[in-house]
Amino acid sequence: MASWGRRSSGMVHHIKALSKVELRGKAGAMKGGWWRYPLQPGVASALVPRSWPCVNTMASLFLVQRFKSSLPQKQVEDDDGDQDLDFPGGKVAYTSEMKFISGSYDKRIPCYRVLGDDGELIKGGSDFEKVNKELAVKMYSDMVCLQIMDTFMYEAQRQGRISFYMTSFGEEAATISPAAALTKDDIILPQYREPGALLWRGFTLQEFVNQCFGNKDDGGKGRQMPVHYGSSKHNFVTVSSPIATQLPQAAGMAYSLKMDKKDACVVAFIGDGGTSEGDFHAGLNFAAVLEAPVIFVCRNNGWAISTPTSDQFRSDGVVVKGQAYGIPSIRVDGTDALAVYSAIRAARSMAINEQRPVLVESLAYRVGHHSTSDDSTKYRSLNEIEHWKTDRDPVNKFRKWVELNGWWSERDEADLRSSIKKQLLKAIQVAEGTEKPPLTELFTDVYDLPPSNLVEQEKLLRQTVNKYSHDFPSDVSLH
Amino acid sequence: MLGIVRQKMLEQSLKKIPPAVSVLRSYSSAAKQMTIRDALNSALDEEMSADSKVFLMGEEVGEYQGAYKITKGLLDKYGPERVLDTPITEAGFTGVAVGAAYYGVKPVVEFMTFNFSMQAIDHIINSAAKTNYMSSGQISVPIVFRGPNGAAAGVGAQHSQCYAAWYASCPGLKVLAPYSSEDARGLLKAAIRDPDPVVFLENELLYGESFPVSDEVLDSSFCLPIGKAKIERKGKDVTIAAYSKMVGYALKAAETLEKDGIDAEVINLRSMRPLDRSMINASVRKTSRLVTVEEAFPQHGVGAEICASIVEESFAYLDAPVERIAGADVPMPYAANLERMAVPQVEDIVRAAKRTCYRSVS
Repeated sequence: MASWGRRSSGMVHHIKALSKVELRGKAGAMKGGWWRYPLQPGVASALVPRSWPCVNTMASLFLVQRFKSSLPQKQVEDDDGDQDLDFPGGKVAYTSEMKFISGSYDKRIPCYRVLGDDGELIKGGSDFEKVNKELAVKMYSDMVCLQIMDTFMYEAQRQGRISFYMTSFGEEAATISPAAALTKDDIILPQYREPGALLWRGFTLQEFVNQCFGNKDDGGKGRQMPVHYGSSKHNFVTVSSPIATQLPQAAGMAYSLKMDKKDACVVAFIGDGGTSEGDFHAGLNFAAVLEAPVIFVCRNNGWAISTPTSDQFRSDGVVVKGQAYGIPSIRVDGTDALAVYSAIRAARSMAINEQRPVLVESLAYRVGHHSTSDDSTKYRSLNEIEHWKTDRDPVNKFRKWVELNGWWSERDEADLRSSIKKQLLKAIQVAEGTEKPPLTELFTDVYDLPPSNLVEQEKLLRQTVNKYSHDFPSDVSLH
Repeated sequence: MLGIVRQKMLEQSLKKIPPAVSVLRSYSSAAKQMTIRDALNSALDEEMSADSKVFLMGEEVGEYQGAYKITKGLLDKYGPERVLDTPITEAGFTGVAVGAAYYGVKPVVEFMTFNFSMQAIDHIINSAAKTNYMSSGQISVPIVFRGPNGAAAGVGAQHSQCYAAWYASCPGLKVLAPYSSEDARGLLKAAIRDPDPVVFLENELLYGESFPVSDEVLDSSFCLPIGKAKIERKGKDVTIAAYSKMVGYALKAAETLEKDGIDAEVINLRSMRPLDRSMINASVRKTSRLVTVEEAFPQHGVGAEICASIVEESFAYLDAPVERIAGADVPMPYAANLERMAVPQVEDIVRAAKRTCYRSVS
């Protein structure tokens, strides 16, 4: 597998430049010079001299766009006198040297970041999207809110108040920054660990808690298990449990946006594990072929329940898969709120202005268990968890930066935390005391209009409940 | 010269007469014949013309004019944005279509056969069927899945299964199976206009068959109600309930039975979900006998569901046990003689009807 070298600074600059590159293939001499030919077929070696001087050990090799096939032409002779293969899909240069593209990587794709662990801007870094005080404070507050909500709701499950919960510990920036970088018209298709995005868009703590308790005020009418949020008002498609089904669906939604010529895109989230599903291939391939404005955000958190990424794939993570579909991709530090924000802003611009998909792999360790049904200490070390929880916490990192800018104080911190705690406790109390959804909601929304058999079933059920009320729980509201 | 003038005057006066001749002709019930293929094609064409949100997706639906030519001419008429040739990924294009339906457009997805829909069944069941319910009505899925279903001829096990029972068991879906051209037009139009996800089961062997169609059926606003069966042949001795190709077989069986003095009532189910239980029950209450016919595997099938419905609602009216005619409980073999033995034949239906009438079948 080819190694990719990129200058760490000016990453965003590269991304912006990509859009301007029609087709440019550069043969690069890598370390040791073992690899001399363009990575991708379709680039006539005539475009570039064979011996490209190696400026630094990380020579760039960008092949942005696949060679678009043109009408069959006469065989073209390049500078070296070699012929090209005129084949469906585009011209391919011949070679007399049999060489396999390596399956392993010499050097991994580096990970874009803006902030260091101490919350300081990386020296020499530039070109990140500037975030003003108002935006930064909202981002930070929402990250804290998500963390506290997760803590309380996890506890609530442990106490038996709700049946199930999933936390986002370690991934606060990975889900809130993307939402901050989008507009409210961009449609989000989550996997299931993105409540941060919904929180950003204005879903209230009470609404979150109501859904987990499945009471009559739940916008989802008690239909779904906890954390399966959805709100068409917030352009957040209802969470669907089967993994990766949202990816081809995202391509379809994006295609529809394109047909409507809307100034908006679709953002679909997926985990590292989800990229193994067939739908990952179908979704990305389709989005590329349809030229649909969709951003695929892969939250690589290192674990799919107990399956580490080393058992999930043998590629250099997920970022390298984008090129296989003709999709521009980037790897970003998911614990760095500013890096994620910049990357998604750039991706959105690319997706909408060029009407094409983009892949973003965000690396942010899953600090919590997979869910309340999981005990991750069974398959990973406490040290590892502790390290990511304390030394690499995205919320702490961002707070340091916000404080360095003079936008946040200890007092603000204390006020925020106590306010959220109070709201949450109130929300839980209210949710617990609210009635469950009425019987009617068992039968509505199966179809647009209730069919006669369901109308009949409901009537029958009411009669039965009324007649044998002692056989039914007392909290079944017949209204 | 006078002769010519007279002829010309006659021609002219004939032209002045309003087209009573053609009007009379169109009032005749057997006036126009239309193949199922044309019926489906015209239905798609009219619905696409009436609603710009309707678009087609599937393998070979565009340039190739459709694997079975059902979508012939539509790419030329509506362009590549509304008639999409897809890569080979049922899971992929079904997922894409479901997502598009979430957004609010109206995809009509073609499966080359419903056997291949197995590769996409998660999107159909877990997403299309259930999303309106799971999203508490916020996301509706106005999608149609269509394609040939059931046995063709000499295509073997993986191209011959009937999926009516599989899809009809899932709440959230509507499942239709046309028999005649009138059914094909009316039900496909209804399916496209319906805000719920619809599975539309056609039959490859029926595509080339012609059926009479009235002017009403040919009108672009024609639509059949979903959930209503049709009595194709009135009778009083035994009810034969069938769908798709088996309706034709049931009608032939009824002709044979008539010679033996048994007057069979043939019901064309048209809709597997919702099932027209009231019509079937009303018919059985009249005849007291029931034969269900399907090409599909017998276990947990449409016939089993109808039988249960009759037992629940019209048990006292039955004069004989319900007879189920179904395909053999084996993957479909290829050899012609074996294939013939694996699907119901007209004679099987005749014998079953006679059994319900306690007639000797030897």
